[in-house]
Amino acid sequence: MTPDKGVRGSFVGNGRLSDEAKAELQRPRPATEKELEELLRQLLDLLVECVGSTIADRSGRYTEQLKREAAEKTYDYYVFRLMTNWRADGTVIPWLAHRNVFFHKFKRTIRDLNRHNTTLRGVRKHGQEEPKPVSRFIPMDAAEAPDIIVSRVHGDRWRAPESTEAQALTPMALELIPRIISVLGTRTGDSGLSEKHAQLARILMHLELGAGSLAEDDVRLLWSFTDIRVWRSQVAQAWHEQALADQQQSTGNGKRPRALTKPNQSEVNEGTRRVLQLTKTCLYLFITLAPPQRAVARPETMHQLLDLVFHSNKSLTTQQRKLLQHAGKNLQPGAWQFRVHKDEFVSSARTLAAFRTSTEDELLEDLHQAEAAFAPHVPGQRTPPRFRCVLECSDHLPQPPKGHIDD
Amino acid sequence: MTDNELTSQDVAFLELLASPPTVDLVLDDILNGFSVERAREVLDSPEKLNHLLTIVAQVAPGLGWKLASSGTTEASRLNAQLLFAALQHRAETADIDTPLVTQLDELTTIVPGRLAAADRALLAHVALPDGDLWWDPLNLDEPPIVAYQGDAPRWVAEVGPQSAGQHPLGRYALGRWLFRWHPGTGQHHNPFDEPLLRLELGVLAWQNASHLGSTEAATHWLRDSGTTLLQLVNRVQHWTGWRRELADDLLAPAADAYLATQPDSGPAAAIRELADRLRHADTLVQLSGIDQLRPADFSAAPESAELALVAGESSNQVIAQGLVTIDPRCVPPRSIARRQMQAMWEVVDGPNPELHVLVVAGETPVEGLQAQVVADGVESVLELRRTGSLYSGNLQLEQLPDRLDVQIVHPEHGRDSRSANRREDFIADIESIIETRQEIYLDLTDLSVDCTVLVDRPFLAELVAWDAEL
Repeated sequence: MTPDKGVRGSFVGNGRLSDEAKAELQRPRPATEKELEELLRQLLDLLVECVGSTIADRSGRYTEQLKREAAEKTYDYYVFRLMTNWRADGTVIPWLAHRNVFFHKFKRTIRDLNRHNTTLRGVRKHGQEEPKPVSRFIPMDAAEAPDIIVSRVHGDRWRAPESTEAQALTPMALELIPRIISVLGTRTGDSGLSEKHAQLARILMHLELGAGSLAEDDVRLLWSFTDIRVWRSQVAQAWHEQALADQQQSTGNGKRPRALTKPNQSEVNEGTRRVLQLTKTCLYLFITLAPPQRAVARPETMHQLLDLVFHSNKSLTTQQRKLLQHAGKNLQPGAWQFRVHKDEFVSSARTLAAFRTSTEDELLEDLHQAEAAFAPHVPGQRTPPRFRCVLECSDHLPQPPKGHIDD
Repeated sequence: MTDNELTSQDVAFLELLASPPTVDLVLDDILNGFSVERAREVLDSPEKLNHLLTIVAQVAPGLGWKLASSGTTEASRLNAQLLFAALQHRAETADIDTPLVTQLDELTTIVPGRLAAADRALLAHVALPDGDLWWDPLNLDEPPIVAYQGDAPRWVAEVGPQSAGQHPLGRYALGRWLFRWHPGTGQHHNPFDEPLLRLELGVLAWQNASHLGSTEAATHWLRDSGTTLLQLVNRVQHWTGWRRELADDLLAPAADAYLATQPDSGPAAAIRELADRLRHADTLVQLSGIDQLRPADFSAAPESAELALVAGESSNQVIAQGLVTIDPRCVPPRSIARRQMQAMWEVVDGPNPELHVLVVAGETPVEGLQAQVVADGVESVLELRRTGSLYSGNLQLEQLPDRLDVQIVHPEHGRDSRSANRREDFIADIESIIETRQEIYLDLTDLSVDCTVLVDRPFLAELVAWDAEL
């Protein structure tokens, strides 16, 4: 009788995994790419099954959205684990694609999300109490935070990203901009675009980016252009003519028209600036402050995060929100690292009464804290949060592993 | 600068926009899935595929794409092909969340990022001769915090990120966690079955003896477990389904472990017979001569200490009173009531002012607790004796205090300096873990999981706590 060997009773039910079968599934084994894909396919089927399930809790069913979110998180988690093993030494652990394991994690995840949606993410529900995380050590996106112990202890490999980040970020920004503009167009207030500005944004996107969809009015406007290289003065001209026409229509009753002498170029420029600044702010919030590999692309999430930064809430102080807004406007376009232009940010933030006398270091530290308060709200964020912070500190930036710390 | 001009930054941004990549945008496809035509287009063009990979390294594939990849149609086959390429690329370019590895003298500690901010007291801990492990009690399939002296012991790789993450030691750690932190059932007719948990812990300690370095822990847990085991045989006769399977899985190893660690104990002969039967018979028959005992009901506790105070006559005037949250870290497991983890105190006026302290006892009451009292900076210790379901004690004060701080401790556990908020959070965290386990095993219907194969399957003591009928 050996103490380490579990002795199973003689009541193994039909279809139940024996200890031996389970041990076999848990054993890492070399796999070809085909075999890996087979496991990925299994995971896809489990994902579909979870999405279509009628899983219920005490108070009834979970929402479709919750089910989808939980299923996806579970899927992402096991894909990551499978992939990491496979990339490290060409092995797979079939257990990680086993339905029991998957469903179990899915149930846990949906339960956590349900609690967190009514708590941590409650920023959109007005008048709610400030949420308290269920547990300080179980982060919202636990399922997406695989922990890879890489050190000489395990002999695992750490791989530097193959392409430099900056190269990849520009195309990413260009992919996001059409979505950002259409989200901004549906918002009002500080984080939204008026009808005219939204039209400007669509034209800009169409002409400069060759993307996005135009409204009927936009097409009419474009048709009136005689030279699209100077499209901003063309817009000013078109708006001017439109205003004149409107005025003529409404002067039938003898009212004296207000002087409309020439196209108002500054109105167009100001609008363009506003579009560009808001767009940059969005890129800052959705790329710079997002976790690596998790840029924000879903419109619902964009709305949530914009609310967080532009509407008062209990997660960020007013001053933190203002700093984030100013930082976003001053995203550095030149090097395109998606970093805040520090000098420009500092002088812009000093226009705020609360920061008029702050030193540069103080301002940057305050912004850093505001970023740290914002970042955990981006879906997929880990604990501790990872993002491209203004101070480029080692706590937030992705970093190569420390072999050890000698001290 | 006037409003009339664009800043140099704005112009630079416009210039950037004016030089878009020549390939099509793919974000919509990444989020929602590809049509057959789009998928072929991308697969046929190295440039487009490359662009897709560039983008997908920055943004997660959407659920729509994943769902579109499942199935047997041509579209799903093509979507899957692209999706798997994307997943591989993401894994290649992943910024891997490195754990914090620290080395101080000979001690190496590896803390996975997720657990970086964890309160270790809340983790499921097990100490081995050559190191320590701390698991998140709700995520036994994820890597634990490990600490060891000198070279890495073999188990470090066994629990690491490249393992299947179902290490039996994790279950032992979870059992220990439940033993320490389970607050009790709060139902006086069905108190937490500590002996049953001891039995299962003993089996786990026995099965993990090679990691634990000896069978000492098994011996410790299994002492006096003979009767529990014999009673369990009878108790599970009417259990069915997976609950029965869980119980049946425990019986044979429990008999073996018990006989190996306590061969000369009283119930050994009966258990030897049981072990023999388990080896040879297909069905278990009820054992005769064993009373189907359960832990004795603990005496019904009053709803709250407040009620108890009201019940006790006090003709003198109560000057001040208050509630203080008890830190579970400072008292033995289940020694205080789950629903009343607060001590009630009151100061009664009189020739000599007196402090009364009351605590409602839990399901595993102890003889007494202590109240550490600081009245106007003067410290004193008040012994609280238990009578029935209440611990109580009185302390003569020299004068009416302006400031009073009361903390309940047990001499063996000592004081904790955490704030009341931290104590309440700690209690809430424990409750959350206890509730989560119940919900995922009992309350969430559909998608039934054969939990008997999982390392964090319910302990029998949990099953009987969830369902008093068992």
